[in-house]
Amino acid sequence: MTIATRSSQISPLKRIFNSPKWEMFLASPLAIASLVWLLFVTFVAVIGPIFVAEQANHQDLLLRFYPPFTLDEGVSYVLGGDSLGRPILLQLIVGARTSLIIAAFVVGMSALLGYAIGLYSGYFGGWIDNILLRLADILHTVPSMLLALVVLFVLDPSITNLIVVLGITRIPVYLRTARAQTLEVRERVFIEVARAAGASHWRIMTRDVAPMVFPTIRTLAMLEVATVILQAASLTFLGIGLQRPDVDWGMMVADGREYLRSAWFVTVFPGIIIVLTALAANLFSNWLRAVEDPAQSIHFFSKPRRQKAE
Amino acid sequence: MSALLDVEDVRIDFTTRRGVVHAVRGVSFSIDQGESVAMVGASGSGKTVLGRSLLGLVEEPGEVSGSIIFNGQQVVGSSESHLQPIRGLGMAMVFQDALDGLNPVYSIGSHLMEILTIRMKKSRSEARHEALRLMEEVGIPNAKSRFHDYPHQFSGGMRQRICIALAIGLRPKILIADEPTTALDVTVQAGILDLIRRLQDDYGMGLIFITHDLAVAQQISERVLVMYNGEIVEQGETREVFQHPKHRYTRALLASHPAHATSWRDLQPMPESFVLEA
Amino acid sequence: MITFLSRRLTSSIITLIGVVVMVFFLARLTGSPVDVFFPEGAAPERIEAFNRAYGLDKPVIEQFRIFLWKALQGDFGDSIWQQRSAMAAAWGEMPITIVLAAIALSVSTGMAIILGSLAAVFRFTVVDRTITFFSLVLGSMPAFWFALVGILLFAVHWRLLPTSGSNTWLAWILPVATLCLQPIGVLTQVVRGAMIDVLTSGFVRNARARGFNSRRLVFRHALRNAALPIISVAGDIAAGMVNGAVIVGVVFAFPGIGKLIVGAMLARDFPVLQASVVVVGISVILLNLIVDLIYVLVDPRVRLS
Repeated sequence: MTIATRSSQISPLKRIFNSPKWEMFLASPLAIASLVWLLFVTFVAVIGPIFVAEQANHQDLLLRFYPPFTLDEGVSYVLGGDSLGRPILLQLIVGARTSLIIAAFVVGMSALLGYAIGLYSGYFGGWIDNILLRLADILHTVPSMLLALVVLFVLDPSITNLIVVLGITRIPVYLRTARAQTLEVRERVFIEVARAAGASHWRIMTRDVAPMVFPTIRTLAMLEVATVILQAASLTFLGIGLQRPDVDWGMMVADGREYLRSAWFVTVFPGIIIVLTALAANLFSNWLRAVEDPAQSIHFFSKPRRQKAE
Repeated sequence: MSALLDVEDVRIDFTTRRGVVHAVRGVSFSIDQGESVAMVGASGSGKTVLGRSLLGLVEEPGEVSGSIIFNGQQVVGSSESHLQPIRGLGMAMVFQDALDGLNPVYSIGSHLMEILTIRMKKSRSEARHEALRLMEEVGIPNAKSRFHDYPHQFSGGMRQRICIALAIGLRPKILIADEPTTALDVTVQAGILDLIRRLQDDYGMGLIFITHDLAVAQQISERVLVMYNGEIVEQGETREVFQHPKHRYTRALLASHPAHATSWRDLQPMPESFVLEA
Repeated sequence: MITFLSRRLTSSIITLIGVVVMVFFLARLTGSPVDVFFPEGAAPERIEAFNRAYGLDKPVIEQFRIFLWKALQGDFGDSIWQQRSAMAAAWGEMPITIVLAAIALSVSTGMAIILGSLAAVFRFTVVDRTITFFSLVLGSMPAFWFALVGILLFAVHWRLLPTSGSNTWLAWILPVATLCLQPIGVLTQVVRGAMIDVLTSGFVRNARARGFNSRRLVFRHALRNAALPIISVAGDIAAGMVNGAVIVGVVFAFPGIGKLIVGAMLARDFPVLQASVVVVGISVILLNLIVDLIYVLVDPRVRLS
């Protein structure tokens, strides 16, 4: 942690803008577009519901399946009305908050737990390691969505339960990675040096090993955001985990399903928002990974080079 | 009559993010049937990429210009399909990375069978016979029982011997060996060198031996090309060059080599001005 | 080889027992399993019979012993919703799901190998960038939404395909496409990375230096090596097909384990859910064994050590 305090004497903002990463970021339109979209969705999810929560749930039976792309009923109905006449645009804004909260907490929880357990398991090994790996194996054997379905069937539907269950099913991903990295780092010479200098195991694990494993976990967590958004939406689409008046994008798609023939927009719009958000998360995390791991090469985001002359 | 391989004013440039790197800057030399030439230079002198360019193996973003004529055929700028007959059959190459040189999922036997049936158009029974002969020739003990073994079951030295077998099995007119012993244990280096020298005689091939080791160059070649910073700074009879070096880089190279000093007191470090920037 | 297999087999059996244990405790997450097993207002006699059969008045350890003993005989109780044993219901639905998953896996692996190899051969060019972007878009699409838009376009708008069922081959197109979506996205990137690694390796360069043509380099020298990382990911992908099976069960009413699971949830039929989890678990374990075997067959380094 000493390194962090020392370099933070330079303002962190300055550090970002002077770094080669920033330069590469500016050179990549896709990375910029992804980040802008993610920031926009986050901003809307945080601020939006404060203003529109009430209106969003306002039902107006006269506006059932109100067609999109007209401003006659005000901006709220520009994307049309749903089966109960609620404005789709405002529902999307309220849903953004739920979807992002789920994604953030699931990724945060599973990454943290997987990181900690993986570190411990990899560093100390032994029978605890064996049991943990076995548990991860068992979790891995039941496809995550099936497991989440059954557990949430037993429990009451609530956002908290949804987060905890999804979070648990994603832990093995981080656990395996953190454990494998720890095993590798542990063998390096300087850990021996620290041992010889009399540092305790606990200290070596938290001060020396953990910071070296962290970047991989961070990259992995970024890559997991899109996966979790899609998984959470799949569950709520199946009617698991959430109940009105809570709403997220997956649930909105489910609402429109019965009226697919007559009112396509009720289904299509929330889906487009899911695709855009997941795609932005995927693009941005792929870009990050490429920048942080030059071995992965920066192919996708750097300027195209001329075709091989053959 | 012109030489078997004629290299005229070859330049190789790499265009990178930070500008153009001139790896080879106008090199000319030639080699005749049965001749052995050593290409000597420090790492970064351009000798490896020059060796690869002879077979048209320089990858993007490298660009080769000039003229490389083998057996009357131009290599520079030729299409893959024109290069394929030259590769292996005309000039075969043995590379530095012996450990990564063989495909891990195919047996040694199938590596040899592949070149003999596909490239040499032999029948399967002929090919099998020839494959075993090649294995024996390069000094693999119990060739028959090791025919179906996989690369990971062989040591580095043995793998390099198999790579050599794969090169000479194609009966090339010239063998290009790019630091074939560098990745190997010191104890097996001499054996590989002996093998290459013997095979060159037996098969009457030309040999281009790329190395940074002066002692090796002296042992194996009749003629030597000294490369420095992408250029050939001196060339001539091996003995002549080593006894009366003309260029100051050659002199510095010799002075820094243990084999050429009578005592360690005579050893001279390479002058700063010759150390290449990375 | 034999020791490898027997070790894998033992660890599979332990994992399977772990899944059964997990299923046991799932029912007790909220306290009494009666809440989970019976809908409100169920006949008291049935609850009584259930309590007796599973010894719910006895300590948990004893309950677990009874459960495990029955589970090992494949007895997870009778379906509440269908007139057969839960296990029979779950096994009965597996074949069609396995066929569906196998088709989807073949299609997606085939597509991914073509796209990923193209991206690797033409790496850093427009071809590569287009393919990578396309695969990320596929990977970012929720399967359920893709399925619905599929119905909207192909069944409702153009009237080319049926909206549900499984009787004609046309009815299989949208479900297979739905299951392929994520796998193509993920696998294409895996294939691309693996192919680049192999194509830039020493042995492919050597083969090129021996004068073999590009087709031979890609198909004989590169693909088999690149297959190794693909095989290890394909196992996970195949297991994930169950998620897709649930989606196509709901959206297309496509028969199989997915439809059964969703139906059981709606009918609050917990025995069938339990049995389904175990049956899927067994299938995934078998699948992983098969994947390991294929891996061993392809890679002599694993086979011979």
